[in-house]
Amino acid sequence: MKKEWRTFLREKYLPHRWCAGCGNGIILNVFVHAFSEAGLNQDKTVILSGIGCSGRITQYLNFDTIHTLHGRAIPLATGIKLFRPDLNVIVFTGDGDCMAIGGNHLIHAARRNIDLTVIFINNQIYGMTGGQLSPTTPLHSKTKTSPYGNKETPFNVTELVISAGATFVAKFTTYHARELKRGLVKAFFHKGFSFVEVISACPTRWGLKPVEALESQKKEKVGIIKPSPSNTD
Amino acid sequence: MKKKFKIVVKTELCKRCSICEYICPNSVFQMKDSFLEIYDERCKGCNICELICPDCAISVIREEKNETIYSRK
Amino acid sequence: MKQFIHGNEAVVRAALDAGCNFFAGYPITPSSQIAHKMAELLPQRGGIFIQMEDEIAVINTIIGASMAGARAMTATSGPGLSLMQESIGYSAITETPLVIVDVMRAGPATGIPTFPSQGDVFSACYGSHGDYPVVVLAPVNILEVYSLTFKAFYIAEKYRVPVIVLIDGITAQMKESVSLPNMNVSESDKPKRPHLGEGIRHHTTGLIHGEDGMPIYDPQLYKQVMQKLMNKIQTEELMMIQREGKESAQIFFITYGICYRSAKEAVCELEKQGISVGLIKLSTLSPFPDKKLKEFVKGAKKVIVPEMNMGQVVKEVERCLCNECEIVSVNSLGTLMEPEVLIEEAIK
Repeated sequence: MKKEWRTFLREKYLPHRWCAGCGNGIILNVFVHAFSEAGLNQDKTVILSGIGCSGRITQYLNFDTIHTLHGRAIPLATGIKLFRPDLNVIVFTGDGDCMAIGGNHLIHAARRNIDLTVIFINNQIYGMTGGQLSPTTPLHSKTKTSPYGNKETPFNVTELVISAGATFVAKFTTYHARELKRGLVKAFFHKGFSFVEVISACPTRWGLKPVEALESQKKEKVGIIKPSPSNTD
Repeated sequence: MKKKFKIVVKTELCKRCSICEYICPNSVFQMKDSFLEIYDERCKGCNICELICPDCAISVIREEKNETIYSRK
Repeated sequence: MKQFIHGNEAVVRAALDAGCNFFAGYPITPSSQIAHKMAELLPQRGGIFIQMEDEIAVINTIIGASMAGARAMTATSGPGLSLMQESIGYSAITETPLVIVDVMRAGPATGIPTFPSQGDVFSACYGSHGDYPVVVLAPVNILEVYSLTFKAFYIAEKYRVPVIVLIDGITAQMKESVSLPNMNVSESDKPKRPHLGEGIRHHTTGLIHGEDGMPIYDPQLYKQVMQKLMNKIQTEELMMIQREGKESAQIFFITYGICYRSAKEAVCELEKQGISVGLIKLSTLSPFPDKKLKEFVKGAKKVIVPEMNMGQVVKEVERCLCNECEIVSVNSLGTLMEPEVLIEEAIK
């Protein structure tokens, strides 16, 4: 029998510490709905996170949860999965955690095709530390560490992960909550390295209202990129 | 008209981001100055508010069966 | 039955006999042979071996495996140990058992990869930021490489700490004829601990946390947590130190690792000359056995601390003895400590 979505939350620690309208909150919500729909075993699932606002997500999830060091959730998850291949291992990670300090671990885990589900919360900024640029911040953006405009081109994350060898790659936004939920369920069941990029929002650091931040994501193209649509059953 | 769906909001969790008001296709929510006004008779049970609320504050209950949309599946 | 064993091989044998079932490594001179042997033998016993992309990945992988219930270890050298420091602190605060073998080479930085040293003492004992419990062991010969590496697994699981075994490059790369001791621990004596996948649904974090696993923000509570953590390893069992020679000797050699052997040779020679010198063997460098050391060298006029570095353990000795006697640091860099040098120092 499937469990109701609230059973996957540590309700005694809510309300969460994130700002009003935070993309992390949406992702937390969609995740527990997806997990409930997938019907996986709550006690055979380990959820990890790194450092940053995205890293705080594990506190609110009612599972074996591990809040790791900055950038190191993926190798820790690798160790768990290798020793206990029967466990479902899911990693939440953010801009810096996944694409900066954790970048090397990401590409090697993708290359190894380790059976993990990595949910990359991409809000294109370093929120927790005050709003510095990240490897996914758009060109010309003004941030605390690019007051004259970001001179660096951001990563094309899904292309990078595909060329590193990931076998399930998808991209959604927090606006596209239903598609995200369906995509997560597919990612959970995929055998191999599944990577789900979620374009998220940081209204506080972007200086936008939550609704404005969400609206800006409406036009994004979302869906499962690999395996390509014609190959899915 | 008989209400098909009931919206339950845990107001102690709500941070008033107004995303529910923005996302609902049937104008069920109106964020007022001091409270969230809910017109659940307009609700068609699409469940997007429950799914997208960043505070996990909303539950959509199917009145006749007193079950959440989710438990149908 | 005596066997002619290579130092690095003794590490592998000890680990496998202690039940090690997970090894993640990254090649580095002079410890790579440990990884080679593990890669060959672990899968045969149903264990897991993986070569990771760097030492930071290595240490985090073994932490993850250990959290999942594995008896996990790695082997590295100075540069690798430096890279692992943040994660050693993480292992300490999350109370995750870990065994790290550090085969020391001349440092700092790239140093001289093929020259032996004892230069990683400070790195092993104090390398990470903040205060944290770590057990550091120093075998003096291949027999102890076996026994202390075996013991390291038991200590790690009983006390739930990272344990670092410091082996100098000479001991790791030489061969000796030894009778391996029978160190089997009965099932009932093996420490039990909770791990992932049992439905405990606990939160683990590198933030300073309370008993519920959640972060704390109260300075008093923080102090309590730290005191409890640090006191955990202040036990007699862990502070392994031995005294040899005349109890009331006026001069003592305070030694660890391979310098113990040079000093032992020096002590024998000095006895022949009618000079009585005491010999201290420090098997544990952290927690440092302050009390026992003070007791052992009470009344001595001079202590000599031979090391293959610029003077590291001597600083602990100075702190411990508070200038109750003359403390001399003798340093040999990149090569074996010559007994003659120690004899000369003792006679001075």
